[in-house]
Amino acid sequence: MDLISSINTQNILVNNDAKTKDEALRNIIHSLYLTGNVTDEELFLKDVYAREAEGVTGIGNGVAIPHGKGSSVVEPGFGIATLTDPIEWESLDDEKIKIVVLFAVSDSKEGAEQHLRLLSQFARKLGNDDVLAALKEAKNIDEVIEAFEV
Amino acid sequence: MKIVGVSACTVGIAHTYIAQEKIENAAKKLGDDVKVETQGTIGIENELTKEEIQDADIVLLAVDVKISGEERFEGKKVVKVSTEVAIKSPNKLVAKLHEVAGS
Repeated sequence: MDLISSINTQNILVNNDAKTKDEALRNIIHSLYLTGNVTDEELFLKDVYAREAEGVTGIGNGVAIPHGKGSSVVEPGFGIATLTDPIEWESLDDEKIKIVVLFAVSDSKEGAEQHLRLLSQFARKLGNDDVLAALKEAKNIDEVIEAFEV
Repeated sequence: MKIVGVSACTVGIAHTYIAQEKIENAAKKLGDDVKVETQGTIGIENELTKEEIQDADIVLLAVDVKISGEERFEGKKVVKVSTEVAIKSPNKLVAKLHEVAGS
């Protein structure tokens, strides 16, 4: 399985109308619940906020990469939301957030290594300015996926 | 210039790898030879060899947690920052590495 084919289109929310950080997180977590990655939405939300408390997850350029690790994650995965209106979010450059990429990681890495490796490759992509620029311009699911092919 | 580095963050799933990519891109832009080892949830990847460390002009640690094998860099010029610094201003950081290595 390569990076692109590992992207579950059901976890890509384009033009999401979330107005707050909490709403954006809940929307993505709900999609991860529907795809069976996460079994308990409230519990996972707590795990995500626990990480938020440790440090800023807005990496600049309008992109945030919240993540949570916990027992509610049965299959590691990620969800992406592109937001209609940029929202307030703690970030390294104080820019409002337009793209949220949420990583869900299980407690145990046993049997999850392939997924974790894919997540790490995916995170790496988010360090590439060209990928971020394409992601911010993406208007539909196909364009979101294409952004990672840069 | 030859740069070797290690990146590691608290959860070991996102910042570690974003920092790696940012540092490598910023260094390559200046024509540097660069390799960044990652210590994340999946363990150590892109591990630095003894020779690479020996040949390096500077060592960059972009780390939020204690890393394994820090003693490998004893006697080298080391710059230590958080992953946030590497992600926020990679170009400035690489410029600083040049400054420190040249001094």
